[in-house]
Amino acid sequence: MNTIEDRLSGALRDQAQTFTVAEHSAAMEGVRHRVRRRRRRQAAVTMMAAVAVGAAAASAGPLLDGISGRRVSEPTLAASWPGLGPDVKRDAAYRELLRRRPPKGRVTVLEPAPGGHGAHMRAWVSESNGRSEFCVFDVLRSGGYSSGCDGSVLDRLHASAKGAVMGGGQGSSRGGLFHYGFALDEVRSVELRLRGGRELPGSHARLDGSTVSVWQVGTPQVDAAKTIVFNGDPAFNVENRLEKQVTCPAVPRPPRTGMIGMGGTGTTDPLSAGFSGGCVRFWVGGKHGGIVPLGIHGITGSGGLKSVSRRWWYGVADPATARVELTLADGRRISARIVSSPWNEAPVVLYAGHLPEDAPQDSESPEKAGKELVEFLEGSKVTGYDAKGTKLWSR
Amino acid sequence: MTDISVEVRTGLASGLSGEDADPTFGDLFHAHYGALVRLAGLLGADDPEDVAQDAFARFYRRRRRLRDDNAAFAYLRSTVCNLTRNRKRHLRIARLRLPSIRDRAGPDHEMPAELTAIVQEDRRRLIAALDGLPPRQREVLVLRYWLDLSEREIAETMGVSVGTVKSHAHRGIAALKRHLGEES
Repeated sequence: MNTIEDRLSGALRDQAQTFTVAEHSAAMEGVRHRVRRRRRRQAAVTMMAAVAVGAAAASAGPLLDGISGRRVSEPTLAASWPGLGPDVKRDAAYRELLRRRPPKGRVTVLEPAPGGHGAHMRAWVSESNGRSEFCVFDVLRSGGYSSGCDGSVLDRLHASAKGAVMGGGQGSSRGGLFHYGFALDEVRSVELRLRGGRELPGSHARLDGSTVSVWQVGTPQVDAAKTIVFNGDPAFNVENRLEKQVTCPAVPRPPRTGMIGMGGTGTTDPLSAGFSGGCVRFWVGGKHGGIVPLGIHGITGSGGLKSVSRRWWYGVADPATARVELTLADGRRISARIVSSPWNEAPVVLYAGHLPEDAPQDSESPEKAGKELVEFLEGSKVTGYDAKGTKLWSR
Repeated sequence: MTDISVEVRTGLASGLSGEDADPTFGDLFHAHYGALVRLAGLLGADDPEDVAQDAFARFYRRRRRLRDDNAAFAYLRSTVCNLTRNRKRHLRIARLRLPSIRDRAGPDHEMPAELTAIVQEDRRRLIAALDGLPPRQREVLVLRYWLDLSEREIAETMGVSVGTVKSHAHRGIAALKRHLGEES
């Protein structure tokens, strides 16, 4: 009998032959699609950067009526996105998420309010390790899409005592903006208040098999939005109008007081953070490093890779977060420094970590530098843990 | 936004639409795509072709930094290992059941039927044991005994030290022997 090493070689050779390989032209098309998809996402990220800049007042769109969502059984939905042509990879991604996180009930379809802005959303409740997970797949009119499941929604909804959280953050399409998230069933409607005072109704719908609803609001102009308004049901004695700030007033330079130093010496530009106007602002080497309006993100209890700039990755998270880790696509893990906010109005923690040495260097062109960083961080994720090491959130 | 749209059209068309436009990428793709699919499969990927295509897409975006063909293939190999490991670990994707060797067409014609059956059963048990190994041990064994990489090459592919490779290989082989009841 041969050695186990020889036998293993033979077994591996045999087993390798069982994997079929597609025609190279078809496989190349798969690669081509991935490159295109990556660039579509880059475009979306570029637009999201504009959201954080904050804004001046702008004209509002027409007042719209909110709609309720539909609940439809799969798999009839698989290739039906209103106004969009077929996209094999997008629909495959959707089916893959459904496979990995099978719905406990029916899938809810949530469209933007009539004539309004937002995304084609599908949401459902799944279960993982005995815990309910709330899943969303959203498709923008531009064709870009994103998806994810969050197992902490219920905890955060009940902990907030406000009845609504941001589940997935924000996205944009051709200058527009939309926010989405989850709310307890007592929330009866959601609106987006514009800086001029007008309100655009959003849409929301209860998820099958849950007391939680999914919602979204949108506006055609990023800088027009001011707050998201959740209207509660007085019969349940919940807060009738909960407003969450969307944009932040401009601050041209770092204030001299109330700043938190997050680190940075020598060749690394120092990173610091300040709080004013309901927003946490990061500064890198005295320049703007991103804004987080806590009206949304502070209440969500989640965090994420909010910003990347000049060798730093950093963000804001729920105060229960004790450890934050960046996992790169190649498996490397980088821990962040955690700092508790000293600001009474903003009970959050701030986190910041260094990007690895092989991350793209600063470029003379901010846009080029941003693209390279986005490429470098593709497939990475940021995870927050509590003091016991339990995972709280992941982006 | 306008700039990005233009870039999508010109960059993608010139970079991927034909081998003539980018012979290095095309050559690499045709030379290594099949091997990378099989590597992903042997490492336990649920969708080996998806992993291989993803690796090439990542390589495409960074190809200017990897002019040397050897470095390019090493990058692709390493990316397949990382992608497979990450998918298994983080996404917890249910593994697709692979056809067993018993179902595979084409017997080993040079061996008598009884011996063929014994060898096939032995290989089936080995692959089953390999499936049960920790991911790093499995990677080392596949890279060593399927791709015939040296310990140094394996270390570079996995981003670990040579000592770690030796340790994983030793433990992996020992675990296989235990599984097969061949402990000395």
